Amino acid sequence: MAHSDSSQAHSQSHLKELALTFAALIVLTIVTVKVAKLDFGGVAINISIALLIASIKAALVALYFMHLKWEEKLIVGFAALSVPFVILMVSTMVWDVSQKTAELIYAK
Amino acid sequence: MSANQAGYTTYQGHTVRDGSLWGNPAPLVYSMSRFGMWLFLATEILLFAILFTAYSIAYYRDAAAFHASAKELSVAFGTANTVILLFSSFTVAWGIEAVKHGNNRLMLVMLGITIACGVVFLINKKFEYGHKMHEVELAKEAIAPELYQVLKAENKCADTFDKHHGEDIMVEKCKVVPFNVSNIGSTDKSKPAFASMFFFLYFVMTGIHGLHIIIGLGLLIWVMRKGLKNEFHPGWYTPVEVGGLYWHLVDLIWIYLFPLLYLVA
Repeated sequence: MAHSDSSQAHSQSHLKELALTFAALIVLTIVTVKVAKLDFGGVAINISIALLIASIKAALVALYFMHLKWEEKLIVGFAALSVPFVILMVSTMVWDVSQKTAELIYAK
Repeated sequence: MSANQAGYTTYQGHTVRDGSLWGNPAPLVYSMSRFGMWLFLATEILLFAILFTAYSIAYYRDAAAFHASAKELSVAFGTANTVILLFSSFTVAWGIEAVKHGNNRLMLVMLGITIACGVVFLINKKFEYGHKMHEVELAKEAIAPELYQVLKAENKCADTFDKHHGEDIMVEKCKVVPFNVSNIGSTDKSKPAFASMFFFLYFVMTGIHGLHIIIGLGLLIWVMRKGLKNEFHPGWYTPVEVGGLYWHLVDLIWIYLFPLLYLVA
């Protein structure tokens, strides 16, 4: 039952998890800055690594700070639904531009 | 309002909301409030996704200019602001934890720290903006070589003294229109619509993000006022939870903005 779940969540303290999350976020921030100075053989790889670390950080914030880990399934589902749409929008647009940019420049 | 009115109860001598709304039970109202906030946050995520799309396309078109432009940004400032925002997110989460267990005072302290962090973030941003306005003036050879050649040929570049970290240094500054409407759609790199696409996106993205910080600060101040009036108790603290969710979103967006704007160099 959602009711008994949430009232149980009320009585528990998540402070330890929150503190650990904060520590992990700071460590990952340092890692992002340090890693950005290294060259992994290609800008695309470097940006992918930076975005991967950012996504881990975002997941930590969403799961612990925003309580998604203890949240009701319906809310988790709707929150998670925005992720594929973001990926869909960015990737289809970039794919389209990468196909058309060259043609556009020569057409003018 | 009185304690025996529908929707109200008494907690430690104060008349407070019991969490129910329009006859609906408190657990349902609490769940639906969070659900509504998350739906709103999903639309916010998509708003920023549009900006990330614009960034990706502009990056794809001129990666070299983006790398050169990003070098103008201070990683130290960006990192400091990242840590400040992460810490403020932690204090908000701590505040929610406190009010959940009936510790109103600790929640007020945590919200106070969060608001202070938000203000420090904005002050840092103001310093950065002031600095970057100068930098955008220079159409540098590294950022826009074609534009720089044209400006140089038209004698629009001159050596001028500039304060740089308190020291007077000689830099070449070119007079350039940051945004030229008549050049929209131009594929000629010496006639760009934006003198620097990177800085245009930098100001738009961090500007909209900064607007969210200001709105978030307003929300938290409103929540704090309610807290000062002892309106929250373990049975009803929805504004703290929902206001906190908004603040976390601001942090979430910054987590992506930071590497994309400051670390692409």
